[in-house]
Amino acid sequence: MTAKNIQRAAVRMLYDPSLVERVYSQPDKAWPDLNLSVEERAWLVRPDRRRWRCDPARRQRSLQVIIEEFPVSVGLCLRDTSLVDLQAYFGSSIFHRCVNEDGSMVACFGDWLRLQHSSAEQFIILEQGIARARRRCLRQLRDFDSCWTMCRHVDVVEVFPDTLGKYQDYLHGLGATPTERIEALLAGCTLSPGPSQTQDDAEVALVIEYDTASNVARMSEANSALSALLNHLRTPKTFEIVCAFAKKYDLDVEECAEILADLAADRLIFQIF
Amino acid sequence: MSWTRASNSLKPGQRLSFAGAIQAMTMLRFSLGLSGDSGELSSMFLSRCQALPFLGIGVSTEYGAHADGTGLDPDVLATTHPEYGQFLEIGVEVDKGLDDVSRAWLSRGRPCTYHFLDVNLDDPVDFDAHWIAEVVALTASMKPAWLCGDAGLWHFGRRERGHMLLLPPILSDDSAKRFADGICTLREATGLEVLPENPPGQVFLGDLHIAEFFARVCEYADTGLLLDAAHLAIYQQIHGYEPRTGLDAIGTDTIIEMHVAGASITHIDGLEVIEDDHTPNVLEETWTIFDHLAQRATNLRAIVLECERNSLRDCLPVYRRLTTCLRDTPFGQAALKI
Repeated sequence: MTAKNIQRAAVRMLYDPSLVERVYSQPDKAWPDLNLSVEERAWLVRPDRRRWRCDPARRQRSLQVIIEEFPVSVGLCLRDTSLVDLQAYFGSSIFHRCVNEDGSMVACFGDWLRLQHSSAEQFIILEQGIARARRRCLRQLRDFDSCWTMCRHVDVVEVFPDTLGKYQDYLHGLGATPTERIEALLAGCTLSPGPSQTQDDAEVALVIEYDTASNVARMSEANSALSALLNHLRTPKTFEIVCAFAKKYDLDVEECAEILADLAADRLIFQIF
Repeated sequence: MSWTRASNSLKPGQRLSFAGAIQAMTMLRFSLGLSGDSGELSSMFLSRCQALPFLGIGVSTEYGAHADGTGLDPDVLATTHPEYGQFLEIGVEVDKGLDDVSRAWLSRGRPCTYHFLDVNLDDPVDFDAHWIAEVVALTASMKPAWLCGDAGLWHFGRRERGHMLLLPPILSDDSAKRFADGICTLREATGLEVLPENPPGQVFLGDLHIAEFFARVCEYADTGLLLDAAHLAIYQQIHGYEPRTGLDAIGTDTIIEMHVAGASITHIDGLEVIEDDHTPNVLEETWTIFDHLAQRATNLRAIVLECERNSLRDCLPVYRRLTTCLRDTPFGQAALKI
C-alpha cells in the first residue's frame, strides 16, 4: 500500500481533466509511472468522474500564484498566448512529473514555459533563480558534518549580458509592487520583447540574493569561476571535496580556504558544523 | 560544537521552546507508558481528557479572515454575545503566523485552540525541524487548550505557495496508522493533545467508511476527535448514505470538539455538489448529525460555528438553533450558564 502514490494520482486527476478521462477509460493502463495496486486503481475510478472537476477554478488559482513569481516572463509570453492557455501547464508531462517527484510547481512551470516560449528564456531563467532562492530560504537543511554550502537566500543563474537591465525595466513597467504587477497581467497587460540575442552571445553569471524581510531579490554579476563554485555548493560539500573541485582553477588548499572565508564573509555561503 | 548559519532560522527564544518541547516529550512518553498493552493505552486518553478545559461555544478564524473589515469579529462577538464567543479557534499556517485579530484576542487572555492548516499528519517528512520549532514557539505564546486540524492532505509535495489544497485522507487501515503516528509525533513535540478532524472533500478513496477510519485513527493514536458535522454530512451525501450511517463506529466519548458550518449546493454537469463554504446556511443533514452526536458526546468540551466571513446578524440565527439543540445536554447546560 503506497498512500503517497495514490495521493499523487489524485492530485494529478484534480488538475488534469484529460487524465481523468484516460483513467476512467483504461484504469489498468493509465498509471505507467506510478506503482499502484489493483485495489488503488479501482479506488480512483469509483467516484462519479464529475467529482474530479468540482473545483473548476483550481487551475486558475494555482496559475495566479505561479505568475506572481514569473511576472516578466508571463508578460512577454502573453503576446503570443493567453492566461487560459497557460493553464495547459497542468496537463503537461512536466507538471505530472513534478507531482510524482514532489517538485516545486512554480519552478517546474518555468521549465515548461521555456519549452513553450523560448524567446523569453533568459527572463524565465532569471525568475526561476529568484524562485529557487526564495524557497531555499524556507527549506530546512539536513545535517552534514563540516560542510560548506550556498546560503539559503542565494542562487546563481547564467543569462545573456543585458538580461538583467531589461528585466528591471520590464518589472518596473508592470508595476512597483507584486500586487500591481499581477493586477496588470490579469488585466491583459503584455510586454514587448526587444531584439533577441543570439546563441553566440556569451552568457554572464548573476548571483541572486533574496531578502525575505523586504521580499526583494538583489542581483549582481559574477565571473564564471564564482558561478561554478556556487553551483558546486548548491548541496553541502566537505572542504576536501571543494578543494578537489577548486583544483580545476589552479587553487591550492590555502587559496581555497581563503576564498571560502571571503564568500562566507559576503554571506554567499556558510559552513555547517 | 557550534552552529553557524544553519541555526539562524531559530531565534534564541524558539530554540529554548524547542528544548522545552523535547523535555515535555520525554515526560509525555513516560506518562503514556509505551510498554503498556493496547487496552490500557486506549483508555488513557479518556482519563487524560478529563483534564482538558471546558471551552464552550466559540468561533473560528484564520489569517486575514477579517482583513477587509467584513466578517464576524470575534472580539465583538465575545463582547456582545459572550455565550457564543467563549473561545477562538485560530487557523494557523506557520509561514503566516498570527494576524492582528488573533493577537488582540490572545492579548486579552481569552482561551483559544490551535487549528493547523499546513501539516500532512501521515507524512513523517512533513515534520521538519523548522516547522516543529515554529509550532512549538507559537503554542508557547498562544497557550491553546489543544491542537486540532483536518487529517488529510494539506499540501501536495512541498509545503510552499501554490501547493496548498485539502484532500481527504486515504480511508484505509494502513493510512489510519500513519495518521496516528503523526498525531503522536505532534503531541510529543508540543505536549498538547492533538485532535484530528474529518475533512471536507468531493473525492474519497479507500475501503473504510470515514467514521470507521477516524475511529481507528483515534484508537491507534490514543486521542480524541474533532468531529465536523458539516463535513460528515457532505461525505454521507456523496455516497448516498443517510446522515447517521456508520456513526456507531465512533466512540462518542472520544468526541472532544465539534464543528458546525453552512454549505451551498451547486451542480456540475447535472451532478449535485455540496460545497463546504462556511456560510450560515447549515444543511438539515448537518443538524441531524450534530444533534445525534451532541446528545451522546459525554466528554464534549468545545463547539465551533465556522462562519468567520459572515456578519454577526447573519450568524445569530444559527447560534440560536445551536443553543436549542444543546439546551438539554450537559454541554449546553455548562456552556449556556453565562
